[in-house]
Amino acid sequence: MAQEKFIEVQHSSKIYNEGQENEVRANDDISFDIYKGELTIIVGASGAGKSTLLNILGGMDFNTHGKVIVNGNNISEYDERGRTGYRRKEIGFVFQFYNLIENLTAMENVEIASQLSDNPLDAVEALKQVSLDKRKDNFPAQMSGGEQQRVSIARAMAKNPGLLLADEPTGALDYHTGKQVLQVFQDYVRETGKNAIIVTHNGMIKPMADHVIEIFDGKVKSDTRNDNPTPIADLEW
Amino acid sequence: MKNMLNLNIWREIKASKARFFSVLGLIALAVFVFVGLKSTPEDMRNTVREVYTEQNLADAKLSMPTNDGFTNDEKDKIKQQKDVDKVEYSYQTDAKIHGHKQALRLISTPDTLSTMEIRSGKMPTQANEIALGEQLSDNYKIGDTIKLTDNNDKQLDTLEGEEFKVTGFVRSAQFMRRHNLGSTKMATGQLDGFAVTSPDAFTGSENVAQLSYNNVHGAAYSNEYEHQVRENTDNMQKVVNGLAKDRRTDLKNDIDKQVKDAQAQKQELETTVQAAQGTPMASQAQAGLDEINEKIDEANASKASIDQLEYTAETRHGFSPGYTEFGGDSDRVGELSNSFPIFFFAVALMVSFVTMQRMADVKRTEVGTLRALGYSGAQSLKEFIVYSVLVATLGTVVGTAIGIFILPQRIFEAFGSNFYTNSVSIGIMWWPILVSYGLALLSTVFPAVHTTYRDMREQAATQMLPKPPANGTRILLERWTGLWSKLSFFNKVTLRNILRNKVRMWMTILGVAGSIALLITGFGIRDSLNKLVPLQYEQIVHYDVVGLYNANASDAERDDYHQAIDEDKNVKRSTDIHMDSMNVSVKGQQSDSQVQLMVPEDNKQFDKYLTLRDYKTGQALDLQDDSAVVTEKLAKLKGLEVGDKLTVSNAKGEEHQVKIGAIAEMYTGHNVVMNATYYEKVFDEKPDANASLIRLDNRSNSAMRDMAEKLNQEDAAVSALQSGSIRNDIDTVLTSLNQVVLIIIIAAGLLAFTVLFTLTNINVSERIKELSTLKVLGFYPKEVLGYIYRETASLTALGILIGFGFGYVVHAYLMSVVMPENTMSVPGVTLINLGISTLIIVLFALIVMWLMARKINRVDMLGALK
Ligand SMILES: Nc1ncnc2c1ncn2[C@@H]1O[C@H](COP(=O)(O)OP(=O)(O)OP(=O)(O)O)[C@@H](O)[C@H]1O
Ligand SMILES: [Mg+2]
Repeated sequence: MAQEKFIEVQHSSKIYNEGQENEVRANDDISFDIYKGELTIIVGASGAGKSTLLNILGGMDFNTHGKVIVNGNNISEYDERGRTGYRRKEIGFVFQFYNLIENLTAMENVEIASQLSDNPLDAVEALKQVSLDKRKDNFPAQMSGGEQQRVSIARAMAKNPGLLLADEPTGALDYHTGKQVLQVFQDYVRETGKNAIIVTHNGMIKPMADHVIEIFDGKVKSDTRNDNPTPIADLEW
Repeated sequence: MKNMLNLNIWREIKASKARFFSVLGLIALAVFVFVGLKSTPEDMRNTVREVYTEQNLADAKLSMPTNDGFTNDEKDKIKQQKDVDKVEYSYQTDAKIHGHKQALRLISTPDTLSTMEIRSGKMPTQANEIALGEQLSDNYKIGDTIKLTDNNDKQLDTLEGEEFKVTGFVRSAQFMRRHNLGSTKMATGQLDGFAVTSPDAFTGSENVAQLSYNNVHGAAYSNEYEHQVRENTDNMQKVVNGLAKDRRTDLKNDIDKQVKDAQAQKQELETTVQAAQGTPMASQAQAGLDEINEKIDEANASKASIDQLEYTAETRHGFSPGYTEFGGDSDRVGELSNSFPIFFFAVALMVSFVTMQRMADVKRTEVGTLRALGYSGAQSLKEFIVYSVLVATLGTVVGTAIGIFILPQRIFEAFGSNFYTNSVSIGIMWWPILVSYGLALLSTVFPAVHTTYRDMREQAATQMLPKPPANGTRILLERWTGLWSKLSFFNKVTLRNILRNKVRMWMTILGVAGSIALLITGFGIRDSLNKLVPLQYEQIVHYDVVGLYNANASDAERDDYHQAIDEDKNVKRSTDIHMDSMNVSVKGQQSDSQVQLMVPEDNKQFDKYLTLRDYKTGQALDLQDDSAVVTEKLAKLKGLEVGDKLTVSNAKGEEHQVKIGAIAEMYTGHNVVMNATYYEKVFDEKPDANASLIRLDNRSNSAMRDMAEKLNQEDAAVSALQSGSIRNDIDTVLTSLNQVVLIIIIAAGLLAFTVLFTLTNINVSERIKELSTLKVLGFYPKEVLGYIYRETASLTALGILIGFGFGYVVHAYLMSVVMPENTMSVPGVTLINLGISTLIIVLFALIVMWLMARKINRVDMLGALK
């Protein structure tokens, strides 16, 4: 595997109310590197600072100290507009609660994202990858939670982003559906050679990742690489 | 528990300030318009009523044209009429102000009826002192000496002297108007003012009587008062008709007696002449004979002028120029109060409906929890009711305050600028306030109750859960795949989102449509008046001056009159007609409508002076031998059509029936035009020419005045009317309407703003998740705004289009009720009007967009998506 750095996080901190009595260090001096083509999993207990980190990586939030370099650009220096452009071109984001637009069909939900990209995937193609091309004209309310989550992944993928981010994508799903969803991420990374980062508090899925970063109390507790990721079918939790 | 709920309400209001204040604002706006427009006319009338009471304005006035005055017998007869309370006699004469082209009406100091208010200086006490009406205060000052003469600059036979010292300025309810105080035979034919002097200044006997009745009740302008006064005065007219007839007979008998005596003398002389033929005696007798012949001729001629002697009895509508107009102006404001507030209340109801629904949606879990905790439905309802009653009450208080104090003041300023009266007297009318409070409560409490009951039907358990997201739905249009597939992605999304909430869709559309209709109506009032003048004076009326002369004047005098016209270099052409002022009574009108009856001498030439064309087809109309042409507004007022009969009555109250052969276009004034043949059929007499229609080359106001003045100097002159004075009238109305139009426009703008703001604000709040998702996906703020505002924008555009139609209709309706009784509105609105109205709405839509952009930018997208 090529060892080309895709993301470098250097001493990044997110401190709320800094210097005051109610100071909260959501991220506290975090540093790590992510190589190109990795499937990364960030794990940690509730409140550890995982979402904070992911949001910073995805340009939805900014750190208060340190550098975050993605694809050679220091995104921690971006202003709001810069971050929007970054999200638009580089990021595909999958939420825990799907956040599909209710009044749009599955296909339209995908299209609305692909509109933004310079080289988008065909919307039907993206839905096919999550095996939902037959449901393209259904509205979110007509689909199960897992199906909705897959539409949400298709929406993120349709932008053909360099970095696919997911915050607890299986949090609201049952075991089998969860596996299905994780499979989509793994396939994406394998097939396109692009990056994906999944945040979870479920340590049991760590084996599927190329790279596992464990967060505890805002700090990196461990940073390990896995040369032989387990196929998802073999995972048990 | 009670405290808890109160606390909740305050928190609720605090949390949704924008929502609370926009509903409050809407209610206040609606109440303001309703209460304001309802109280203004009453305030206006009360203001002048105060003046009438202060000055003890007479109920009616009797007048006779000569300074011979009423005889004692006549005075007795008048006093004996059973409904007469008080009669006071005074002098009156019209005069020209020497060295000015101005005419004034000089009256003797009143006693207790129709008194005057001295505004500066003092009342005149000597025969050479005078106090002028305020109308003349720009031209003269206290201490000036003015000279009053007849049209030929000679001393008036009605006055003892001609020079008067100005001692002060007065105000009179008989002459409230600033301009157009009526016509006169002096100077240019228009009264420019009035003046008062001591009775000693007059020659002859008192020729006017001020009357008060003992059987009238109610305030001025009330139907009760006006009807009784009218009935009394109609009777009085009959009485004075009888008096005038007796007077004429007496005068004629006197003359006959003189003639008889003279003839006896004549015979004697003739015998003398014959007998004394050839002697110096004969030539002396011959001279005497000539003298007597001359006397006889003179006496016979004066019999003709005796025929002209008529007495008139007038109500305030007749003798007090401005009385009718002031009442009419306030009625017109009242008419506005019946249409405009409907819009405002309808929109307020719609918007608070949506707002309450939104509030209920946000709070449903809380209400559900309260119920689950064991509180009854009524208790959880309470909070909503308190909230909505609070909004309605505050809105009513604010709206009433501005409506009662500010609107009447502004409107009075506008309409009152044509009159000399007191400053507006503000009164509180309770019924509009109560009605609007009721409507306000309906607009807020009903939606609140309706919404909570809707939720209450669910079980508490389901109510505790957040409302399930609305299902996405296909819209009908999607079935039409041919079109649907051609739409761009965002157009499809917009369309589906718009059609998702049909109630809100219609509210936005109707709210905008209503606002723009109001704007169009507001601007349209100006438009229509602006269009009226060119239509009337370029296409229909072509004469500039009407010279009225005495048909019974001697041939020589009438020839002089016509010669004066023919020799004038500025006269382009002129024609003679018979012209009569007639009255037509109209249902619902307190005073009769004035109609000009015209009978051309030369039917072929007539269309060079007045174009008679069918009001519908525009086809030229010819005068028929068996019917008359009647103008449009008169036919409309009377509800008559071609073939119907119109009843007209002359000054003496004699009625005649006129068959309507055609209806002609006409914008100001009422006319009945017929040919001589038909006139004879109707009135049983020949139409003697008594007026010259004159078209000038130079048609300026001053040229018209010069012409009128010149004509009035002729012996045969009765009066002269300038058609241009109506233009000035319309100009005054226009300027005075500006205030009202401005108020309407501001209110309509606020309405549009509140509707757009509230509905868009709720739309944004409801869809904050969706918008945050878009932000996360990488939409720039402008694009997010565009995504949601596209809906508001398309609904606004649709609202504007529908509002155009709406505005056209409302405008037409309003103009039909708001125009004076004798003025026809010009239908249609101008493109500029549509343009400006659209611009104003667009401007407000942009402000709302800017506010929404700020709101969207401030949204914490991560917070919203948790
Ligand atoms: N706006 C904020 N102000 C203050 N503290 C905050 C803010 N947002 C997050 N935090 C704090 O930062 C810490 C990290 O939060 P974060 O959401 O990253 O946790 P997490 O690891 O994603 O937890 P979970 O697994 O429960 O989602 C928490 O202690 C949280 O309370
Ligand atoms: Mg989290």
